[in-house]
Amino acid sequence: MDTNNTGDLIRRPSNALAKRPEPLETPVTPVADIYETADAFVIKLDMPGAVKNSISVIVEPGILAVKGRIDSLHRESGKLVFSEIGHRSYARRFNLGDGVDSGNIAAVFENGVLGITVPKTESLKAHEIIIK
Amino acid sequence: MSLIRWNPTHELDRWPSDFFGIQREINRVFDNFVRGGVQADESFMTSYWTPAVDIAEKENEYLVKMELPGVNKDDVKINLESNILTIKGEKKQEKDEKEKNLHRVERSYGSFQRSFTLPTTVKSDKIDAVFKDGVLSISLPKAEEAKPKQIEVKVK
Repeated sequence: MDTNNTGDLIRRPSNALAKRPEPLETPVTPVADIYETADAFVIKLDMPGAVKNSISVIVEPGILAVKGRIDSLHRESGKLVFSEIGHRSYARRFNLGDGVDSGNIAAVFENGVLGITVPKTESLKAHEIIIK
Repeated sequence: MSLIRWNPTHELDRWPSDFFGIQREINRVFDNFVRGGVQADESFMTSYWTPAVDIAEKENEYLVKMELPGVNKDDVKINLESNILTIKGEKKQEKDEKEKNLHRVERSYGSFQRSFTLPTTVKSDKIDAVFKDGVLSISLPKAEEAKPKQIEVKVK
């Protein structure tokens, strides 16, 4: 028997106990406004307190998935006397239809609001028909 | 239309990970209804809303966090009067957004006001507020007499 392995097995549970467990994260669906401009769809999601580098916007065929985490007061010392925010994470998925240029989706995080611009493809844009 | 309408029943498929999301959604709709968020004489966009708050007590201070995504810093007022902390303000809808073809409006706009009674005295001149990533953080240092004191026990 490998003695190193046995040592590992013994050490692991004790490490787990020594580490204070993270408070349970509450997954939250961030509220969103969606509007349409001449050449794009714009999604605005309220994600207050989200840590910028925790935010991910993933584009899969037909799906746009948004994720993010916040830094909660739990992390800081002191006891929470009133809590409505708590320890939460954000996640939401949107279905993308045909006619969107999924390769050119842009996202900006500003003042707790994640703005995603989904450009339309030429086929979906309004065209003026010239009368001859 | 290119974006497909969000179907809440799809969320049920991913239970339990999205269970709290549904619960929150129900709470939100219910809260809006109970509070009478939509005023009869006002347009839908100027309804009242209640931003979420966390309050933590530390040894030397209270820490208040309020979620105000998309709110302009200058539209927020903080007031402390005889231990009652009041935060009020307004979330304005961007002008250009109003004229666009709206598909979905879930975010709240309009005035808000919340008051909290602080259990101990606070140094009102040392209050510090920071607004970052849509979260307003207010630090309220406790007055000297409110801080925990260690009393030395002398053994004779």
